[in-house]
Amino acid sequence: MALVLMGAIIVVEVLLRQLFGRSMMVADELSAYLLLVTTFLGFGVAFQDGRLFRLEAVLGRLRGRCRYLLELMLGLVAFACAATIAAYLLQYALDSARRGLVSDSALQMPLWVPQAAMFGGVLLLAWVALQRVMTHRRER
Amino acid sequence: MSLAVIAFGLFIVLLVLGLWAPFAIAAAALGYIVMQGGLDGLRAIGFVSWGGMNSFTLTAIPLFILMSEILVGAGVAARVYSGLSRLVSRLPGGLLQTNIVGCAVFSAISGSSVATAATIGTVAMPQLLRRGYSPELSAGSLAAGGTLGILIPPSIAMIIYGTFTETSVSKLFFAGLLPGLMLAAMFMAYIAISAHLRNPVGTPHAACEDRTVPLARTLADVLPFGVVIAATLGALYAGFVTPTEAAAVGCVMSVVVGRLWGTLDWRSFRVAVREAMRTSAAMLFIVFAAFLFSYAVGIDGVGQRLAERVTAMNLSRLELLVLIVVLYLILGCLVESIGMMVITIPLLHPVLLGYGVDLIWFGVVLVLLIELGQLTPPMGINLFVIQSIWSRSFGEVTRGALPFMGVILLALGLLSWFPQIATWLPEYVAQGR
Repeated sequence: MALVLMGAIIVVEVLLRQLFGRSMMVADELSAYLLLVTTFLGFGVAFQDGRLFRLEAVLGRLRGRCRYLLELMLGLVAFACAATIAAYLLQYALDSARRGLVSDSALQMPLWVPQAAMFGGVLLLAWVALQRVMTHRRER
Repeated sequence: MSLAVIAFGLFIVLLVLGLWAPFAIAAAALGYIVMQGGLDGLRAIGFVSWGGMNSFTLTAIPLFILMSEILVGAGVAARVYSGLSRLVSRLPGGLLQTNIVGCAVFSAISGSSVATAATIGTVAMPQLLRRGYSPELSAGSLAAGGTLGILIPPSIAMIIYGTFTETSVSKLFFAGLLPGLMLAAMFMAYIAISAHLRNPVGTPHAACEDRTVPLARTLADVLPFGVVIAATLGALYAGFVTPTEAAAVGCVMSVVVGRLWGTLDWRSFRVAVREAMRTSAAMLFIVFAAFLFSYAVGIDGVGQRLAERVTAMNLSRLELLVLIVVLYLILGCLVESIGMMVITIPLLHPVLLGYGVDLIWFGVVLVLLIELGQLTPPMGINLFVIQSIWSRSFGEVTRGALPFMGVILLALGLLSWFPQIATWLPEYVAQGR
């Protein structure tokens, strides 16, 4: 939905500018926020769907315990990365909220709002990675 | 330099072990940051993520992906391929020529090589098999034709390159057009020569029934893409819209064309949106991780040190280019294409600036190098795409793509001797405005 809204805002901006010589003044900013929402919330979905590229030359040759341990290790690395990034994104969003930062535009958007979406997206990614690790352990 | 080597080594090791590409970049980036500034260094993650990803330019990526997903979902791509096959399959090489022209045309509405190879491959493969075309040449033409997706505008690779090097995406798009058409023509020339040498084994002539279809119907089949291309790239070249706006306009045009010429309905539109969201999230995850890596490279200053070392070696520009080509040929065997680009640009950028290399021209060269990477085993993504459609051996697809890699290297040589092939159009457009 955010993707469609993003496209619609930009098209309206183009039409306003070309036909009436007017501008919303906030189309670029709004669509960039929508990009953040679409992208970051999509990370976990893309991961769960197997859309992330991985090289299986080594993994594919392993069997049994070796493969299990390597898969477990890779899952934990993915979780650790996502959890670390999520923690610092949360800190950044909270800091923006505490300082009352707003965008330097007519929109005056509180910056913690899109930053919270970034945090939420990476948190979801960490959750998907953790679930993957847990499922892997259970299947063992 | 040693920290950079450790970080790069960590990235390669994790990737080879099987860690998902964006996580491998992110893990290397986090490790690189910690090695330099301890855990305190990680506090920059929020600022770097916000500064990098809060970008109007990057908005073009999901929109261009959505544009092509809508057209594919509406079945317009199959109709266009059918029309094009009647127009060009009389050339030596028959339908193999259609593969290249089909990929070139699809490239003008899609910014992705994978999407181009997969779409045209899916449509073309049954026809190629039914008519007895050489498996290797067919696979090679589709894998190589697909690479045009990132050279002929719009190009996702160019949007990412422009974002990281702060060069104009519009100029990059203009710069890619002539080299893209040149490369398509070179692919077609290779197919024609190959068909002449094999004649008629593996490259049968066009079927007779193709010649009985009225020209008006053929043009009606090809028209939909023409409308979308004219509305998006035409508006961009005319200076009415920015690349991101062209993508949004393209989405609207795709819906119109999909309804009028194709079978677009609410259900297929929703599928297209969902696919576009997932594909772009996977791609932008790599870009996001790369921003972290780029930050680590920046605070280390390794790019500057590399630039000083290369300058001290007194290499000529040609020698530098050869060195870069060799580097990318090696990397292309190990790293997926967009990952390869985003990992190396922060390192190479200062070197290029030090040598006074035109960054627009280099953007086109880099895209050609990425195209080579997309055809280089074992990581050549286009080889996997074609293999997955066809279910033949990976070796067969690789052998088919090999001569086309030679053609790309020849194009690189031409672009080095005659940089105007890339730089003329952006300069001409800039003067005209």
